[in-house]
Amino acid sequence: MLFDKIELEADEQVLKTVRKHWFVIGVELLSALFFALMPVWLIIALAIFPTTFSFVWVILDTNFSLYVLGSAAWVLLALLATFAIWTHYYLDLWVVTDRRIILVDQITFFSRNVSVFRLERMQDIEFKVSGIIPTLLNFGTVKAQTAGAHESNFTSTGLPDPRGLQSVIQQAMDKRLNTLHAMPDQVNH
Amino acid sequence: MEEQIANMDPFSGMTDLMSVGEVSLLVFYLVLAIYVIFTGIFYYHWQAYSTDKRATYLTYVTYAVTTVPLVLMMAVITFIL
Repeated sequence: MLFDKIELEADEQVLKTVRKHWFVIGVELLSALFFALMPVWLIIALAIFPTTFSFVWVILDTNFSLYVLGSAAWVLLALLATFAIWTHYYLDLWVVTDRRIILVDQITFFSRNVSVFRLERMQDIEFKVSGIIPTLLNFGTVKAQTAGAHESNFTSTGLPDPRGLQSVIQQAMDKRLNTLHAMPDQVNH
Repeated sequence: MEEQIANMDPFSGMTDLMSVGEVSLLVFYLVLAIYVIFTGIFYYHWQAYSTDKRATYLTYVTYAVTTVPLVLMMAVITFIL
């Protein structure tokens, strides 16, 4: 499991685990499902316009088993694509702990990016909710800036309750900085 | 008319080269290979990177319930019908 591989530090606590909003995955899954059912749409279209596509019925009649096999293959491949979408959604996450933010970005099956940002190095965290649907469903983009190189900035789109996430990170940052000021020997521990 | 339809049949040229049974077999083995490879990669990713055992279990069950009948159906069409 993932948390065994991340190897949390001693006494480190996970405050929040965030995945993209359900609307984001919902739209992707519905699109995939629509394509998966393409053979069914084809049959429905043929049933609605039987005279226009009469020659297709003749072809289907002579090669029906091949059509069913092709349809099953199509649905199976579309389902595999759907499960790939689900996997990328589920394995793509933010883990906010009381010491750092861990970003797991599952781009494809063979492309995975894991970034770790320590809270004491965070400088600014902002969120943006743009559009009607994101406003109504409360999801948006969270952008964070860390001290150091420009490449240390990170942005993630489609996160649920971005205001709440910002608040959790801000509180964790403040708490962490207070702890470090009280006990400077804790830096990087 | 029938001749016209036969000319429009996308499978007519193909069946001169291969029989319908051979085409079915080729499609079946090709899809089966993709399915087996994908299943291996899919299983590895969920075992290695998931954070929730229950979600992993539900995903495996859904995957099996939706895909295995399709593979079996393809096998029946290819080898029996």
